[in-house]
Amino acid sequence: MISDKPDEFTWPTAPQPPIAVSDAIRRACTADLVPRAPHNAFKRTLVSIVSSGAIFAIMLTVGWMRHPPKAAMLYALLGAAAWGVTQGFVLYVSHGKPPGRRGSKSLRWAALFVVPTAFLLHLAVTSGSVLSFHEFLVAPRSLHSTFVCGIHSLLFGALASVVLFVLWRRTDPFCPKLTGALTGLAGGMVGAIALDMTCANDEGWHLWLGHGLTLVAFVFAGWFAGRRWLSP
Amino acid sequence: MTDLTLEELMLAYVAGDALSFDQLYRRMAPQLFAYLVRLTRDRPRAEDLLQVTFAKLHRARSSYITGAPLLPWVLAIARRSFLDERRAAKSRNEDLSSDGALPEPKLEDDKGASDTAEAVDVALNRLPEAYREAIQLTKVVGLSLIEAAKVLDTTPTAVKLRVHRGYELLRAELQHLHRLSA
Repeated sequence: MISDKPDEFTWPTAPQPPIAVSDAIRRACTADLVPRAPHNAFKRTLVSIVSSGAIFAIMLTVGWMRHPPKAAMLYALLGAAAWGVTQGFVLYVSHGKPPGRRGSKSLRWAALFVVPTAFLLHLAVTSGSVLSFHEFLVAPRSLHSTFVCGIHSLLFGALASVVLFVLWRRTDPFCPKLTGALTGLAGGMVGAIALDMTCANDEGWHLWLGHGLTLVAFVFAGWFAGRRWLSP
Repeated sequence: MTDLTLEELMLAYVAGDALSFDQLYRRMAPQLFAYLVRLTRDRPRAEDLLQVTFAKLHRARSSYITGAPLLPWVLAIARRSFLDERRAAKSRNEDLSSDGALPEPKLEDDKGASDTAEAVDVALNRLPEAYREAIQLTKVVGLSLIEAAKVLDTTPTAVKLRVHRGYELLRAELQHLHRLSA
């Protein structure tokens, strides 16, 4: 209650809903009651991390069977672990506590902007060469390989995102769009990071458009999907 | 059973106990209905939205996360249902009245609002939606600023500001009503 404001008004009492309406609601809500197990936010976050990790591991294994890691295996695994921790952080701030008890909204907004920006910077730093945009467009097969990478990233990211959205379906009536965007970000990271670990092409435009842009796309898609899927 | 919190009753309802739902309904429905009447300013619409809200609660009961504050959770569902319904109504063809005007929501009659609570009720209905909602949630439903901010998807400071400005307008409106009835 607002304690620093004296109650100078006599507030109206809450009206009772009509009996017919109450009876209809009681009938509808108790007709097919099947016992369900209650859910725990922390356990479900762990399940989310494990399922995303499994999809990430599958994608990494398949990718490395086709192309060996571009850096030393140890560095590649360290990179994967670092981004895995980041993804765990995104999942924790977006879902780690029950809706209505989640921490600062500013922290969630910050994660939504900082993580994709950091990933794009990471791509810029790790790119071996950057052609001019015209050279990139006319270079043989560059557009084709970027398109193929984008499709792979989208497919695996979508798979991870769908798993996350199903796990958290109808849980957040408070800010489903923001939670959806963070869920999309976490799912998109699976595809984008695994692809970055396995793709042999390290040209800058290829990395930004084929690997980084899909992550941004997942944030936007998650924003819209959240409203539909995460709201009860 | 009456000693249980709303959250404990919800967990029992999730586990399949119909009696717990009855208790939940008894304790939440008046507050929820009052909030919806205040939002819509139209009792039949509020009754429809009450049913929609409980239908959504029933459908989403297995998604309820242990520890989530139940009353704000359900109020947020009710608010989103109201916003969805209003958005859908905007895109529907409205029936125009005989003089070609769009139908306005019916306000309660303010003649003879002599009783204090009744006068506050009438004056509250005249406030802008943002102020009306903030006052209803904090003063009538009894949510804390933080809980009201969660329901309204804003910050506690913004809720406090809305309540303060709402108070100013409410005071002016009540003086106006008092002059009318005098």
